[in-house]
Amino acid sequence: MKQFLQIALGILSAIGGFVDIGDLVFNTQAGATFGFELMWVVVIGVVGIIVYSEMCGRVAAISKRPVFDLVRERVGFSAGLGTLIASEIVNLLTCAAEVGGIAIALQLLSGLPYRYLIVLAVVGLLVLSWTLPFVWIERLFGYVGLCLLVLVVAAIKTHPSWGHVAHGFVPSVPSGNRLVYFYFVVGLLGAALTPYEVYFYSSGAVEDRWSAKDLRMNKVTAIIGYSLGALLSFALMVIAAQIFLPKGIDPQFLGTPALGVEAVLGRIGLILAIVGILFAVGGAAIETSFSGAYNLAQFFGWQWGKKERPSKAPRFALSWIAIFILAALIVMTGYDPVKITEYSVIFSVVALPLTFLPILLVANDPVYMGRYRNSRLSNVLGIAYFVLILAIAASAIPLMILTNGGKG
Amino acid sequence: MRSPAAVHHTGVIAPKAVVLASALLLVAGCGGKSTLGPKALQQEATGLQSLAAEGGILAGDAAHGRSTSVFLRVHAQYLTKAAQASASTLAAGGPAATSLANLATNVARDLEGLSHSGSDRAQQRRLAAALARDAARAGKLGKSA
Repeated sequence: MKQFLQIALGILSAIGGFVDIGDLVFNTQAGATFGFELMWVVVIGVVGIIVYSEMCGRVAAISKRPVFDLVRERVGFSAGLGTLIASEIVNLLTCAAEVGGIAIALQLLSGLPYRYLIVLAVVGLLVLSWTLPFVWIERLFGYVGLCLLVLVVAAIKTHPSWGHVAHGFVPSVPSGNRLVYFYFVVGLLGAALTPYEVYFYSSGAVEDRWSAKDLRMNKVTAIIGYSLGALLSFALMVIAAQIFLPKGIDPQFLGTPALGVEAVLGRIGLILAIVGILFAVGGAAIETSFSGAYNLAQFFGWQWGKKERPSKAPRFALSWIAIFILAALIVMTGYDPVKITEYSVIFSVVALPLTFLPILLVANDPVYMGRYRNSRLSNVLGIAYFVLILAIAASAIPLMILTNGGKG
Repeated sequence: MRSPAAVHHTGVIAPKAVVLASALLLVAGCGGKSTLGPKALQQEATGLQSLAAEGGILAGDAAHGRSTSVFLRVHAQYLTKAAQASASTLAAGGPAATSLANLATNVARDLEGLSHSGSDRAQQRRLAAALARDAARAGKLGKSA
């Protein structure tokens, strides 16, 4: 019963924590540009993050080694350092976008000036991260993030043609500009396969001293939590397809998804959507800053861990504090968080193969994994996704340039 | 590695290239204001249509009491800033951009009015209709660009 409850709570927080600013931006823009046509990409992205997370959780539970420990060992110092730098840049950009997202959500609720709210957001994040244990951070942001389920209600209330929605789960010839279509394919996959979630998940598993007995919970939480979380992505796309596409609206603001909910459900829906966005991007901001600190500490062999007192792991603590402050400084310049999100998602796609491959190799290594090494199905999926990730990594930046960031 | 000949060669060409580029820039500058090409105009029109339509939805919701006053003010301000930026770009876009520039100015003014409309439902209804018309007009101008 206790384990069932633990799994249920894990699933709930996975749903609430599924959406970040990348999903909000790319799913809404994709729906407003191509209607339901790109639903299938979300399915591929979600299966990919399930495969990647399950593998990382299993590797962490059995080998007790987190991602960047393995990256350095498997690809060597020089290539590993390149991977680390790329990952840290992406983490910092993503954290900046999330901090900007928190400030915008707070502004939409309070009306206070944006720059004051950036400071308030970072101070709040620092205090929460310093004082609360991860289990409470997860509960706070994951459960309140469940307010985003209002997106599902709003999507249903737009009364879409379910036949057309179902058709979107089958890849088809794009109705509009093909390059823009493929840009959104890459963006949606990048938004779903966010590496920082995996660094965070894997490091958390090592910190919580997972063992073989936790593998079932790892699998069930990843599969059910992410699958249900994907409902939010579908809902964003349906709302955008129903409300914004017919009017020719190209969503460029974080308030636009909330406006879509308001148009269907009114004031209560609007408030729930903004609160959900606030906690979804807030949780993601903490995950990105800690992912950055985990990566640095694991690569350079520093003492690390949220459970460690900062005096015992000073460089780790300084790293996550520095990432929060740098992120705040980036958005303080006035650069649009939505634009930062677009860049961070596209650049994260480019860096993704460098961290996926070492995990795939170790997950299949009997020396580390013993009888818990990859099954045939895991290998087929792992290799298929590695090939897919390579293809999207190679095409991400050219597509961003050729389509002017999806503008055509 | 470049040969000494190549270095010498570029050393002779470079000043000529600079003079030629400067002359081209001067000639281009004598032509008057910079102009936006058809594709840029079309993109501005599409962006303007989007801003006006989004403002129209916001104004309609506010008129029906379906929004909050803070969301209305803040989101309309974001839309206003984007419309003002578009108006500035179009104002410097040459004669072909005049109609769109005027429309962008109207849209920016309507959105600003919306952000200050508070609880004035009648004004919000008027602005919802005006912004919907502006969106349709931007769409037409974009097609003819």
